[in-house]
Amino acid sequence: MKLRRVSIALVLMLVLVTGMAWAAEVEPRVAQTTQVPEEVKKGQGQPDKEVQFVYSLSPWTGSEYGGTFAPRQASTIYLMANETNILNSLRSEVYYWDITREYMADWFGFKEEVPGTLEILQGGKVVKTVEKTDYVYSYPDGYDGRVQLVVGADAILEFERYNQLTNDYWDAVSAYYDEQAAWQATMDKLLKRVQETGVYAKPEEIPPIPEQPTPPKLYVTSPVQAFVFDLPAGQYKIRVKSPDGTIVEHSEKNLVVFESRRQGVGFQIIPESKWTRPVLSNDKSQVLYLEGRRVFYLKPFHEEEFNQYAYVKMASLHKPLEGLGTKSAWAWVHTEEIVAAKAQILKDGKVIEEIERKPFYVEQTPGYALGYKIVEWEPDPNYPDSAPTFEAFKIELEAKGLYQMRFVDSEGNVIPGSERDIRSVNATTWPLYILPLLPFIIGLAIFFWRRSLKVEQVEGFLPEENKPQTVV
Amino acid sequence: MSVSYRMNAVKVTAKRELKSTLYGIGLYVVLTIIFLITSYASIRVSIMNVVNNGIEAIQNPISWPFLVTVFLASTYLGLCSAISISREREQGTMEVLFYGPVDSFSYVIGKYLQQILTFGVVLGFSIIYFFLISQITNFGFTAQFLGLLFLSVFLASSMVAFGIFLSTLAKKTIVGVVSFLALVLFFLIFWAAHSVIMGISGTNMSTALIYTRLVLDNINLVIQWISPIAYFVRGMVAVSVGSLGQYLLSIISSAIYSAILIALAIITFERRGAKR
Repeated sequence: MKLRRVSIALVLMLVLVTGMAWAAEVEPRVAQTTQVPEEVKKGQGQPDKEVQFVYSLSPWTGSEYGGTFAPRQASTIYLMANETNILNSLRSEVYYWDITREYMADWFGFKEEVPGTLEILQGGKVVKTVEKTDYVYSYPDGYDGRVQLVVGADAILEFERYNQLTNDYWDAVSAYYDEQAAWQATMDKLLKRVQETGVYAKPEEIPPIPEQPTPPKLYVTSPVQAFVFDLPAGQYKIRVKSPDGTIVEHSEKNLVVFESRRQGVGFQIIPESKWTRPVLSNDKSQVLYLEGRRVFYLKPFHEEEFNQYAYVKMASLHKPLEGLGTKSAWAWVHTEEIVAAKAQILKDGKVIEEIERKPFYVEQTPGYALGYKIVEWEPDPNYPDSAPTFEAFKIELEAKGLYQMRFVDSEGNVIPGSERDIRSVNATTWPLYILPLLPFIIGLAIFFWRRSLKVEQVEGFLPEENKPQTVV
Repeated sequence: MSVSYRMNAVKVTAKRELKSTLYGIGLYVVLTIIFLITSYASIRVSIMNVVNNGIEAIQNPISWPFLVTVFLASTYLGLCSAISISREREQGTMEVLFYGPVDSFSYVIGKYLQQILTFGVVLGFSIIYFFLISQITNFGFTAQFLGLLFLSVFLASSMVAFGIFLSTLAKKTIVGVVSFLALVLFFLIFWAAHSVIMGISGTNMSTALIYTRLVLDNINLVIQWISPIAYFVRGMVAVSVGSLGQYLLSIISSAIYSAILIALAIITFERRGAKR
């Protein structure tokens, strides 16, 4: 018996020691991505810079192109599947900035292009080869609007188009100032004549005011060369092959290309009573619960659910602590706002209301006391710079029972994942304390029924003279 | 022992224990307390949240109270299993039973079956209670809830199997009870801590919190296969995500977990015998 116990203890010890040895083996690899090597950290306040091969990354994050880079210490790069991503091979001075806990590259101090071809490998075989190509970001609705990636020869053409538009604009501005000066001179002459003669000028004598040219909305960044590619989900390895056929040192990295677990429609719900505190509804299984008559504004977004670790690492690879410990977590990411759609409210399966997207303006009430009202915004020619506070679908409900809400596109098709139930809540709470007593009442009934049975049995068993007179 | 004898022993053991549980008042008192807790601490809070915020976008607010109910009821049943087996061993009742046509298999399976049948009663009360609650509050009684109902049987199965397994290891009742409660409490606290820390936004966390999250997530890789709660939570996620594959996987893994623990309990019984 003792021998058996000793052997069990020995086996346990062996497992423990093996586990610790394994952990110790793993630790240096973990340290590369989680902790900062001492040689990078020393020189407190003035961190040591190290010339490194780095990949600069502009991954598609769902709504825009992000910006991060893979220093030597990051062994794995994360990218979204089936989306165009941008990666460049560079050499720069890299240092660790302790205050914000991130690696930084001194791009303005030292930045050198590393020429070559990007090789993407899977299972030890090269599955894709990517050459550097020109690319630009084009913003057709202005810098704050949506972004389009233009690649190759089109990128140069797009940039030239932007330059042409900008030059045309400045030419038009210059011409406008000339016309404005000429108009002002004519008007001054007319005014002088009116003052001297006291005779009003004829309307045909007054020249039309020159129109100020409108600046182009289009904004295009300068063309840059990089590796532009997309890949299906999977585990890859990447490396840069220099023009002489050798592999560039430190260019070998793991590449994880991930896809979303689910897609749907998420909502930013702006209650009229708390317009600065929007509520989020990202999951189709969520229900909108209301109490009484409520007004709220909906901003729908296409959304995708990603593994949190992969997504955070994709967007912030230069921050080694970011995303750690989230491998089992999932997060919804809003991608594109749904604009060309209508909201439908249904009751018992029938559409009872159809709502269009409108602009709204939050108007502060006059006086010192806090207060506001949300009104429909209309453009005012006297204030050409005025803009709505937000654009959304206004829902006004005197919630009674169950409603459904959904969004339909311009062709009337229901946008998948946009359906939600809307329920009014009964705020009466007293039944909540009565209902739990149900099992106790039944238990008591069974208890007394059993007790009565026992008494009957005892009564049946005992001689007549010894029967109990009362039942307690 | 022949199969028919064993089946009869299982039937008799389960029936005797079930009758004793249903005719006592303990189960009903426990259920009342559990329902009161869920009513006050969860359902009332959900109502107040909606009333105060005007609008709330949440998953059906009866899902969580139901999880709490199932968890507490399963813990109670697991505890009952642990107490009953340890006590019968300690008092020598088990030894007497084993002189008759009862062996380790029929004894353990009988105990397990009785608790699962008792959980059926718990489930019956839960359906009535949550249905009435959903009608009164208008929270809704969805298909998702029915998915959780079925899943809960497997959580109860895992908890009961866990309780039985621990009680077969313990020599004294107090050891069985304390170890069961301590482990369940540990699993619960771990799950709560892991959920809370995972719910915190990932950016601008303190270093201590980041490493705590990393440690918890790594420990979770092991705990998720040991903790009965983890099996149920996985099923809950599958229900909320709407993944039938994950849901079935969760049910199958719970069933395997229960089967392994029950098998281990039978083996331990065989080795240790029925004597005090």
